[in-house]
Amino acid sequence: MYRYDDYDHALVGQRIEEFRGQVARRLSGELTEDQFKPLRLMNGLYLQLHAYMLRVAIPYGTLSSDQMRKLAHIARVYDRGYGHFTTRQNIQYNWPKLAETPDILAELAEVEMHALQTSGNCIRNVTSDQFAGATAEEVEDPRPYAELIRQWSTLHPEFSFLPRKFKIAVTGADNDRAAVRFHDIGLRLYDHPEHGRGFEIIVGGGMGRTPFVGPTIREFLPREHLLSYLEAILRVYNEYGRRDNIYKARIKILVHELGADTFAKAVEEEWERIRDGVLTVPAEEFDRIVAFFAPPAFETLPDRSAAYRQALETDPAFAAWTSRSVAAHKQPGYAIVTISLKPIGGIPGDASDVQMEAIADMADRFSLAEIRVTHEQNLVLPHVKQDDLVALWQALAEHGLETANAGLVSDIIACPGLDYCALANARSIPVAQRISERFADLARQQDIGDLKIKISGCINACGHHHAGHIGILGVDRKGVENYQIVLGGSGEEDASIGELVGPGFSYDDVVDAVETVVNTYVGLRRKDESFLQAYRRVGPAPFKEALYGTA
Amino acid sequence: MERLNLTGGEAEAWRLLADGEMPEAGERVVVPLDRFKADADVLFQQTPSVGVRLTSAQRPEDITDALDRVTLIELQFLAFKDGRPFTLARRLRDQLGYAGEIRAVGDFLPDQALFLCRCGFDSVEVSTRVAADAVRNAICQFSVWYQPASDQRLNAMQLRHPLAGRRQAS
Repeated sequence: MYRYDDYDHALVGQRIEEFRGQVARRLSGELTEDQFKPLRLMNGLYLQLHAYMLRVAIPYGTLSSDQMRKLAHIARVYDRGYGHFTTRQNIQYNWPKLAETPDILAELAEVEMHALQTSGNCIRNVTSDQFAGATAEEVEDPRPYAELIRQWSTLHPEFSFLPRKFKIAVTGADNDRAAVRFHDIGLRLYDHPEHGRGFEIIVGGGMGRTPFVGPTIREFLPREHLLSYLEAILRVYNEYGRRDNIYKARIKILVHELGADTFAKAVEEEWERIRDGVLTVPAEEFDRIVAFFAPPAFETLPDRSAAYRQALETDPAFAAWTSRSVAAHKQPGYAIVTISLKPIGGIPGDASDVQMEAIADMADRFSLAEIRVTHEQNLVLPHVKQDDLVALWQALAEHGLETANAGLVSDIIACPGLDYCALANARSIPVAQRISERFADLARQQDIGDLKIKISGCINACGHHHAGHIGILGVDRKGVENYQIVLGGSGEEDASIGELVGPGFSYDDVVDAVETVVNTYVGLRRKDESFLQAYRRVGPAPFKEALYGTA
Repeated sequence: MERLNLTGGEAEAWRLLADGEMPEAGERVVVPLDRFKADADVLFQQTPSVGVRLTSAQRPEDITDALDRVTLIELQFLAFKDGRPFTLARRLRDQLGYAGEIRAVGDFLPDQALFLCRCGFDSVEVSTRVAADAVRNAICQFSVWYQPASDQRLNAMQLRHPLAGRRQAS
């Protein structure tokens, strides 16, 4: 993992002292809420429906066990005993007191964390593949590049007041767990047959009220040019992005209105002016950062653990959990474990202070002290010995963390919705809870198979409904919550935007409608055909008919 | 109005000319971009100190030919959230070779002063003494930054690798 040096510590520490002064000016009345707003947003502090909300950055979703313990401590001491992991691999606290927020930031700085740029029209927390550095599917661990981007983008003097927020994701694997085609910039690290290793540059994807699958504007960029090329993209966006209409201010609109080719040409022209300059990363700095992400001290083990194999044969509950939660590791004898934060009927992404502390202990015991956060609002222990899987599963069960539903119908992404958010038109969390309860039977979930349900409580699409196999969008229809259903979206390497299936459903009826969609799929699927495959084969017609009876 | 240099100390006063108004002989004056494009020669006959004011929405490329005659460019923030002047300043400094003074005017936040400094601004104009104090406070609160920009200060990467910096410079 990356570790701060004196420069990183000084930068974060100075920022906290600045914020402490700003909070004092707000509390004394020297600053009005309007004047304070842009200052607090620079530090991740939102004002929601009922209270302030603090969003803490977890760069590229990587946490140490000590950092997780600190997050638990903050939940216990400064909040109401829980935190909420988000689709940006961050954590949110919903009930901090304004006067205490500088102290929270100081506590975070002790474990090399901050809340910078988790809000505002700046470059947000860089996200990545939660299996980075553990999966055999990648050409290289993408996190050193994500860390380079984190530093370059932090308090960038030119790009802290962009037309709109800006999100970057980076992956090094063909299986896209980072949703790179739904980001303002998506970076895919790969080996080109002629040019060697470099990045495919995707710009202008996004969700919101105008969803786009991002186009590739450059097939190949040598790695040493990463920062100068990003700077060229951001400069073109800062100059030409629309500022007249907040709903048209994201870079996706600029790329769409200009056309990807024209946009790419403008970026290339800008890049020609600045390439090979001071933004070319010196090899010394790149080597320094890469060293932090060197593989941890793995033991030499047989490829497949005998104890693990035996447990799979003798304990069906354990086997069911592993079938959803255990993924292949690049190191023989190890496994990647996903911890579902989606207990049946629970709030997606929530974890209590006790659970966070328990997970930190499990990471120390079983995963070389490392933890990841996924954009699907789950956690990952990336480096678990197969020999330890049974013990880990038992430890998880003691804390209600053994739900065997990762990737199944009850593993739902939901935005905070009307329960917390000032922008929401409809509740999201209770809809997720009710769907989860409807499909509580694990055998039924396993029979249904891979299915991603994603729920947003307004058109801003924080719950990624456009990319859900089944997406649900809550809207306000004449003062009443109404839920539209979209089908066939995907946020992965086969990215697509879901299609609206028809008129929306009431809060009471939406769960029945989801069940009708699922049952329709089960009735028409071919052998081993997933929901998404089946939908792409048959299209919306059978689902429309089942939902609306239209012939 | 308070005018201050971002390196400390008071900055020179330049008067914004009203429409059609002419400068006194030798006076330091600023005019909007359109007036400058129309009347530059006439104005320079009256005084060598003619500055030009660009809003967030205007482009420095429009006055490329005049950049060696101008000694002050004011970049006017239409709103503090409109960050285009940061890019305009960097273009002037890094790409168009402008060596004169760049001043921030209009609706920006004192808390943005360090960003201004790093993007190549030299001075600011603010309306109150409180704001001027806030600017002074904002520029001395920080000593570390990650990016290379348009000032001459070393960033964290250069400080970490002084030898790499020297090799690059030679």
